[in-house]
Amino acid sequence: MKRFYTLLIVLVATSVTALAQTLDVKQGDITWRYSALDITSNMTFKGNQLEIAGRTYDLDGIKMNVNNKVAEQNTVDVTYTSAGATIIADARLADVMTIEINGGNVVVNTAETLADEITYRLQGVGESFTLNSDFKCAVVLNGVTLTSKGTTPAVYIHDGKRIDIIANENTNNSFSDCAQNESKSAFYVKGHAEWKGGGTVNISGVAKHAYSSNEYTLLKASFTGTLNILRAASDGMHIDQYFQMNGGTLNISNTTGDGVDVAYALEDDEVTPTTDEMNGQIIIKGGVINVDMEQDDTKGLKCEDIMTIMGGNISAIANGDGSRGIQSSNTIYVGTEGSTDVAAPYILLLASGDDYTDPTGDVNKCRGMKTKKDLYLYSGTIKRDANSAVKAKKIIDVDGTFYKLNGVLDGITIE
Amino acid sequence: MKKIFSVLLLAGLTLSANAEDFRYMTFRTLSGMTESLPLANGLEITFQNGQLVATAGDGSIFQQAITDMQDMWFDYTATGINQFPTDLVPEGTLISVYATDGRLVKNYHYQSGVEVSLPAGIYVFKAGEQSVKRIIK
Repeated sequence: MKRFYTLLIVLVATSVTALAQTLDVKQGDITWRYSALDITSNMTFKGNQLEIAGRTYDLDGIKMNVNNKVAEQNTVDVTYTSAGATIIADARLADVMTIEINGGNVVVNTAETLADEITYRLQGVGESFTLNSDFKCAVVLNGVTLTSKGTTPAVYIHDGKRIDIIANENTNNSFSDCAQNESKSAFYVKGHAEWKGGGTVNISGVAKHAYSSNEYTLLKASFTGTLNILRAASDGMHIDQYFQMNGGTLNISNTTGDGVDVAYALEDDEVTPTTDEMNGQIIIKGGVINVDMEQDDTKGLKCEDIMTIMGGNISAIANGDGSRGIQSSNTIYVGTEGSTDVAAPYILLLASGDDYTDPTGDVNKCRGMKTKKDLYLYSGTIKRDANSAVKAKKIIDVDGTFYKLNGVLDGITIE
Repeated sequence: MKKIFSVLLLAGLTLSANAEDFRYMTFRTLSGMTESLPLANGLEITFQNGQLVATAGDGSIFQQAITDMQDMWFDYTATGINQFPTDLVPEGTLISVYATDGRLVKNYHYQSGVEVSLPAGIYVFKAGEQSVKRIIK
């Protein structure tokens, strides 16, 4: 009986997946791919033009192929090689987007009439990918290395809607800009980014930040991969609105500025925080974070509003003078109210820097954790690394009140 | 459970029956002549120097001036040189067959459904002002 069911499943799967016939229309480095079944009317010649499914092509330089490929709907596949970038795109998108290729640089602009979510899949070695759109999308990192050589980021996604960034399992993806980059970061999201997938992503910011987003960035629980900030001339991750991490691994080191710096999203007056949800906050629900601050007066995890650490495993090293592993200008909440779990969240603090006198004359002391308001330890553990030069009584600095419920302070005393 | 799998199998087979791959690309000239090339091993179509050149994976070729082309379409059945529309190429029309070096190989009078016998090679069939290139295997 089991063999019968297995045979049935194989037969069904075979019959469904074996059928894929496509017509590729290649114009330069862009191939518009049709499913043969979508070409329901005759392809008509008009002088030196050919009309296919309502779209007219000039025939100069055109090459067409009929193959047994898979016509992926709403997908733009970008492959970078030493000869430049080539594109295979769903032909139904030809009227709602323009694609420009300049060597290893690709720019996609979508029309306002676009009404479907598009998946952009990147692979190979090249220079940059820029997307200007106004509809939610997915950017799949499928083993891609981009090093921009001009004034643009390696990746620039300008899309005010939800952007899924998916690092495919078992892939390594690397992004870096150069000193000429005039944008905020090497990987720049002008929108809100939600990270998924199990791959590895490395980002280096030569000009300024490594990664930035002007709205929230969320590492979802389905992000099981690793995000490495390898270097930054300013912050590792500079985020407006909020940063939330539910899964995955985040490693940040070799930054001139802060590790993760979350600022308020502001109104047009650039002074007033917006009423957007969780504005200015950091929320950690899971995953692993390793931040290493070796530069003076830098912070590993920094936010202007509330910081909530409900889960995960955090290692924060503050070795620069006046540096802080974790800092909030508002209250920090560690753990979950009512929980007795001491295993999660787990926060390990190592602080060994000296005092730092900033340009205004203020003296900033090196701390493992600093809050300008209150600290609530509901559950979990905060531990002082025995190698810390900063003493047990100093490693956590609370300007307001410390409330301890069911959590554990290991090697730490809060005065 | 067995009933569910049986339904799935029937659905899969039905899907496969309705979405069968096309077997030919048929080209039609302004004069109404049609020619089909098989798609089983792929098909490449180029447009250069005013010519449409279609090459199937089995080596068969269709070539025509772009300005002589009307349309083309995916098809499940083939049309061929021996199926000239009879209102344009009446029964009995003289057809001349040339080798690629320009040498006249054969003349015969067109009869629908009757294939002409030739050695393997590439030939140009001409009926009046109409012509088409074929590979005979």
